[in-house]
Amino acid sequence: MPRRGVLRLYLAVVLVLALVFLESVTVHPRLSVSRVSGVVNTVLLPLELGTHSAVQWVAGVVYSVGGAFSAEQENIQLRTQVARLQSQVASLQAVQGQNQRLKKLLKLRQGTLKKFHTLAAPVVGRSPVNWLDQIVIAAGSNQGIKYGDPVLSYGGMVGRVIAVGGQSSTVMLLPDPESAIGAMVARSGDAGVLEGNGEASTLKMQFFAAGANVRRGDLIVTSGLDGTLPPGVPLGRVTTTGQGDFGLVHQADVTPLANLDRLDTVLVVLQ
Amino acid sequence: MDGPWGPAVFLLLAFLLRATALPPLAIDGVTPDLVLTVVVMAALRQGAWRGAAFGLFGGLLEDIATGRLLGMHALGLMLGGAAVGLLRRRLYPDPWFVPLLGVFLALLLQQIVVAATFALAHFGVHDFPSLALIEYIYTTPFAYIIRPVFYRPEAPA
Repeated sequence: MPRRGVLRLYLAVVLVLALVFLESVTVHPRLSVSRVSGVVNTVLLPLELGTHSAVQWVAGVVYSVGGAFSAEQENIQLRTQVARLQSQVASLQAVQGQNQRLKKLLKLRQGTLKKFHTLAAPVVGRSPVNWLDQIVIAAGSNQGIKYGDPVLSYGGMVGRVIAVGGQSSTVMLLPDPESAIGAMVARSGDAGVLEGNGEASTLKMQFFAAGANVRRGDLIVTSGLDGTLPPGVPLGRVTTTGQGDFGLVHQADVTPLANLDRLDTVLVVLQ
Repeated sequence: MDGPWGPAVFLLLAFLLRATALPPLAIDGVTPDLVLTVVVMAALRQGAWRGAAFGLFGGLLEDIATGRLLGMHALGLMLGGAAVGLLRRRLYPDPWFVPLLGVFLALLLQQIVVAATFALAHFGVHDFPSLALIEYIYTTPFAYIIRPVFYRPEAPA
């Protein structure tokens, strides 16, 4: 092997070892590169906002032009107008949907979260990888957000802040494999931990008591036992129950109430 | 598309699109891995060493933006880029299924790194194989969409 090839091979081995080392020291969010990540996300924020707007504009143009081109020659003008109106109707429906979601968020703010200071923040980005479930919101330490702040949507809790920049923050969502929230069954009060397992539609609830009183359809809410979360915030509904590994703990599958795939505005509980 | 800047710009664009435009199209939380697709196509065009370098760049971008497990995607994509670059040499001249195989190989290596990291960190992922399969099926068509931009009929150096 030529000298250059050997050098490249050494470099590759050193890089692999360095990356493995970096991984091992940044496993947990508190030891992670949250500051670097905060700075990078702040730098990327205008790009993400720009891309977001550009994608919406392109979608609108494609919708209108698609409608216009499919029209026959003799009534092309009329069809263009129809396409434009349809585009306007679609955009009005989107605004109406957003309005309804914001009203629900306001209701949550005035009800369960009455005693807490909250901040509404737009979602500008999602995790660029599949195995870690996170979102980026356009609000950071300048708006009073801190590490660990709970984040809610109109359906219920969606996650916690894990990295804070000046103008943006990263939120770890409930399905993330590292997510764990103190929770309880609203009906019986049996408590446990609600954990993410990488699947957007199903969370895993591990109960503290072996004979926990839980059944299908039960509402799971925050227990507030850890002192950082308001108690009684809806999290999800039980879909199946069963015994955990070795039959020692009782566990349940829970479907999140909030639609985690379509988050546009969230509420951050400031602590 | 023979220099480093073209693929680098594509990687940044793929990263931004994945973070902003694709989330509403997620299937059970899984979106197409556009960054990996660009790394695969760039590796097929420019060979193993460049493929590894693009993988390292794209993966580090994802890792730093995510803020956790720094190196996990960089390592996975770097190995994927290198492996796909080597694969292209073995399979020259380019049959139609090379992107299909390239995406499979790169995703497999990345998922092995992710699974190993999660096992060491005690993170549980329910039904890892199903999510991995969705990711593969969802990502592969994008390799064919961007193939004309990166395609070169002769073998890489």
